[in-house]
Amino acid sequence: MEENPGAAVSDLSSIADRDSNIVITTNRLTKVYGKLVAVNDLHLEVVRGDVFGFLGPNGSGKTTTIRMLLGLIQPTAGRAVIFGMDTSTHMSSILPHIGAIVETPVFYPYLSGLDNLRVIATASGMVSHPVNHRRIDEVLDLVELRSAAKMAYRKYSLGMKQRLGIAAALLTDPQLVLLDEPTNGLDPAGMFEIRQLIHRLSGLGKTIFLSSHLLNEVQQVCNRVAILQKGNLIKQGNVRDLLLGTEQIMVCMNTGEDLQSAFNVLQSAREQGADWLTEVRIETNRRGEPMLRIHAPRVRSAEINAMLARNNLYAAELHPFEGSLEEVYLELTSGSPSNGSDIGAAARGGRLIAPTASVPASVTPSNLSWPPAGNPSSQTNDNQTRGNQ
Amino acid sequence: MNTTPQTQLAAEFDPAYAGETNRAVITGRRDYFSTLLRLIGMELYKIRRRPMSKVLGIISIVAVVLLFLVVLFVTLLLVQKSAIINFSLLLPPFAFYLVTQTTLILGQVLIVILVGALVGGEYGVGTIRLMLTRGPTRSQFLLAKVGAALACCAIGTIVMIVLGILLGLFFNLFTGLPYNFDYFTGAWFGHALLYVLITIFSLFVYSMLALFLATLGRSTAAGIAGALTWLLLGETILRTILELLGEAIGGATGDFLRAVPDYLIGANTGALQQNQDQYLKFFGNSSLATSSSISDLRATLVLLAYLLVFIGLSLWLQQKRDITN
Repeated sequence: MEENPGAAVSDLSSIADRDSNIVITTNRLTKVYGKLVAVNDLHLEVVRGDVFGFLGPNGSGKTTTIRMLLGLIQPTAGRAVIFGMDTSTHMSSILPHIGAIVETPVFYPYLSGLDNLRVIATASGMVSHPVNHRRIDEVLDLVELRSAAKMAYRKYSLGMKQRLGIAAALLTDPQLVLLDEPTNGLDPAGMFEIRQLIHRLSGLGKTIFLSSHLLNEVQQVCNRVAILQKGNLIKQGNVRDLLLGTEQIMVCMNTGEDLQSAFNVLQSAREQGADWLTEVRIETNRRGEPMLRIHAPRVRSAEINAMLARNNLYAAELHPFEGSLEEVYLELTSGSPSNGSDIGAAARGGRLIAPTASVPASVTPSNLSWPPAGNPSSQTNDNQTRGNQ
Repeated sequence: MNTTPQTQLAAEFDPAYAGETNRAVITGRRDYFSTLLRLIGMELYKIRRRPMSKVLGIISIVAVVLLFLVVLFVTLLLVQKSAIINFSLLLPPFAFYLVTQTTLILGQVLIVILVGALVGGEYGVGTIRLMLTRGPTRSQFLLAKVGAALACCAIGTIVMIVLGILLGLFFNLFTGLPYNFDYFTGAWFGHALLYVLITIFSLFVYSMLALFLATLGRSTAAGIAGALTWLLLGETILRTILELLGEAIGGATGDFLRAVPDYLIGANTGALQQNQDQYLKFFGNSSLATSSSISDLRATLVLLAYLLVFIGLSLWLQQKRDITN
């Protein structure tokens, strides 16, 4: 499912009627600071159980939106509804069911991690009770801070502070978890743990709202995303749907002549109605070898192979790629993704799928001399924009 | 139960269901007052764990001990020189006067530091963001600080007075002067109690000045520096300027300017205390005790007006402002 970001959500009650599982809805949410429009006319919809990625460059309004959702700042216009309740009137009823990290988590420096959690527990309405004490221990275990629980917070490393923030966010066993850059300051192992934690929480039916710059991370954990730019929502939808438009198939031929022929075959197929061939172009890979980059669904790999074979053209290599959220993101936020090699695509977050066709290793690309190495994109048949359909 | 999905969702999270919605944790009552009381407890816990509070507490205790050591020394000197003294300086009612005045003078400074840090620190460190995303309303959050400040004023005053009186009673053993409790009547005790309450109230007014300035300036420095400047210099300078201007201008305007200092905080807290002097017989039966020209009612109303302004403006600021970095 992919929504039109511009579609007005004018009647919130009708949304609730349509889907009682909507956890967050924003309706024309706007925040203006003087002449700066930080968030403009934002319509978001987060469904129960979603792991919702909230993406955007610095200054795009992500944190401002989260602050508005948490009632830290008042919207200039529009409103947000969480759990079916308007945040402007029911914030104190909503907040106990939300766990949140807003930017870098901050705690009382003179208190220990344990004391900070006790203070937060009290602020969250938890009373002194063995069940709640156990809960504090549980979340400390969850973020592996039990051994440092009695250490003063000011002595914590950045990663420990971040983990304590997550422990605080999960303390009340909230239905909705808002995480603003939760992996900031964490090492790769810590980031992996957070991803695992998000998966676990999602498995428990929690709704996760994750703001992050790390697109690969978002792609791995989120099922839906919204992309913001300069305060405007430019895309919202299922990750899978967004990535469909970025799937690619890379084809290597034995000779430059074959490559040109293959290009011509595919282009003519496209002109004859194979509109699933969104784009075909000749590029060089990182080794300087010419190749065909075909923007088409991965499931069409065999069909392409057969099409070439019917014309006595035999692919030396054929690699389908899952698209990357980074490509979608870059295309939406800065025009188009950088053209690069197959390896580059994988490095940018594209997932390499096992080759469906290959040639014996004895066939080398040494006789391939066209196009000249270093020219990353010599020919293209289409500049059609992807991802926005 | 209404069956529309939106209402179902809202009902699931209705405060009335608190304690049942999250089975992993047990929550208390969520009505305004219960939440406020919990938050006051939380603020007091934070104060207790704060190194600054411990330092301020030690300063208070050391100050009282030193004061009574000095009084003991003076009393011993007087006894040695066979000076005629009608009452022991180490025993109430004079000791009571000494310790309450010390509490008031020192306490004003200490409570301003404590409350300035308590409120401004939330903005400085950024923990206000943390607290306001946990459920309490902004007014509850601020009123919890007000409650904690009042509790600190009360606890501090009572501890210092009790400590001072006990020390005086103990130190008096070394002077050989007789213990005389003739002054101790029901009326005296009632007025002494009132005097303690006035001391707490006076400290509370200054603590609210610090709270207001810290909220206004969103920093500890604004709260402490602003309130201390007003406390130590502001009132004196303003009083002098207004009196001089009043003298220079004369007439109705001059009278008005000369009357303004009577509405400053210090004048009214002082008046409330002074009006109790004659009942508490701090200086025996001497004629040193005279009532203030400002009545108790007027002084109380003026101070309540200050409280209303300080707390009201702080609440308004807290309610309206965006919590950013």
